[in-house]
Amino acid sequence: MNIFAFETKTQMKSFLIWAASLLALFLIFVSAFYGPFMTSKDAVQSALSSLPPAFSAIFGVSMDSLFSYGGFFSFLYTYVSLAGAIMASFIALSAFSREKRSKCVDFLFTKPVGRGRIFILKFLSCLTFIFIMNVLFILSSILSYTGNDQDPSEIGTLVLASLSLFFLQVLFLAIGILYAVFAKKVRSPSGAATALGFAGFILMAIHSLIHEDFLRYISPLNYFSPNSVFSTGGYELEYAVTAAAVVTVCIAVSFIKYCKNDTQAI
Amino acid sequence: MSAVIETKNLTKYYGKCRGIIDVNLSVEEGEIFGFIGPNGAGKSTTIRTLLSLIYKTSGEARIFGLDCEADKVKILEEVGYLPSEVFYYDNMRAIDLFKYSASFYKKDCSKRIAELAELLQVDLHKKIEDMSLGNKKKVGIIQGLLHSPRLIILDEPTSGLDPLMQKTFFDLIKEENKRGATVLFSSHILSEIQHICDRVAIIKEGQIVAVQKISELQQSAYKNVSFTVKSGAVPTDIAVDGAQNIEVSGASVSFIFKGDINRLLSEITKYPLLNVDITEPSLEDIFLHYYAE
Repeated sequence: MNIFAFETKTQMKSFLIWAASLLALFLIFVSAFYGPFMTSKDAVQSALSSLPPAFSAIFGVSMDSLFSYGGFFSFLYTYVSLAGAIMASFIALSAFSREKRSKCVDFLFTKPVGRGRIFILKFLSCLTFIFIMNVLFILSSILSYTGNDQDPSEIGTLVLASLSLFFLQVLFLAIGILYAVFAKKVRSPSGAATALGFAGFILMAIHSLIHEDFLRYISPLNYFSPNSVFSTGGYELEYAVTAAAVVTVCIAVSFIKYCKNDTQAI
Repeated sequence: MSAVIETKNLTKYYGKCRGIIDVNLSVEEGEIFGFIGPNGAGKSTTIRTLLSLIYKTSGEARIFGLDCEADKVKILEEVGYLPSEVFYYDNMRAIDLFKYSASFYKKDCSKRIAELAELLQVDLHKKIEDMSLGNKKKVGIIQGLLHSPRLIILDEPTSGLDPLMQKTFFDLIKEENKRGATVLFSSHILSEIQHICDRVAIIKEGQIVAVQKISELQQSAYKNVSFTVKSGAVPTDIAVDGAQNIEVSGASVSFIFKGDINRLLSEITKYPLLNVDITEPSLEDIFLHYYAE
């Protein structure tokens, strides 16, 4: 447990900054734009229709569903998910490259604790952060939902849609761990995390533009869509399964590599 | 007496690159065992294999009679390790590192930490990254000894320490040894091994070339011979049976000698001598001899 405590304590500050910024951004956007958006529906509609369709596709603007809370949430979620992906990758990269970055792998690996145990405790520490983050996010989205006079009976759908972020973050946690374990060197976790997040964003943009179904399988940011929850009441099974497979493979492969790898001498 | 460290044909290849080949070592309980060789000979590879930081290609490695890979966790409870390069977490004070390190052992180490910090004069509340190399090394030493391990593995421990601190460090290691700890001391500096170790293994290109008692090494039949002649009588060709590595500089001649001492003397007395020295060779000389082969 000491590793869990150490990891959690070390990471706490950056987690708090990330969580506060992300939630503040979300709440500010909702409170600043939802009202004006809904009241100026016609003006917005005509302004958006004058833009090329490719443009609105990239920015996640879908005209039919925009003017509902769900539509607005999905639109906002595009950016929340990008930030969330970067955050989760950052947490993973930071935890799993900590010894590599400070060149003290020898220190930790010569303590009386198995590498498998180290891996699991680091992973649990990361998961705890993601869990807390998403409890806060769901609370925030409930707050924004009820604050905007939405139907209280639909709150279950909202919670399910908000869980998109949790699944997405677990997915990027796994990808981040894979990166951290396999990279020879991780200079800056924030740099690498940003790169992973934007790579996801580019894949998402390509998928939005080309609309080929197979492209969605390689676009992790598209696996869990709040839009689908608001319109059909659930996630799309094939992408949820893909996500589960990606997470399992990333974690399993990283675990084996972490346990079996020869530790590089400095 | 039982073997604390025992390896049988321990071999490690990094891909196709040689690490160590067929290393057979046996370190007895309570001894200070030197492990010597130049950079890249395989000292660190052997140590890192023993600690399961890297995994052997073949052979066997046991510590306290337990398998180094299968029983790693159990072994490491009683092993203290000081790596040759000391790096620790960013933004960490010495005391935080020690507390984290101590949290891995099932005993209270706070008293020992305070003692060691006092002895080595380490500022516990300073950030490690702001410390000089020597002070980082001290942090490493404390980190390796704070749980009073049964086996202490030191990989080139003295680099960065000033001579005074080296002496403190050697005294500390001797004290740990008296307490009952076995010590594996790897180095490329022979003089330090000479002072502290009981036995020494010499490793060359991944293979052990000799394991000997320090006392025996020095009692080998080799002698260092040097003599100085009056100016004007500089010897140009010297041929003595059994002389090796003959060096002539100015009016001085020196070489390593093994053979009939009478013939050596009668040969030398042919010159108008100013001075003659016949001494025990230092370990450096013996070492060079092993490596010259």
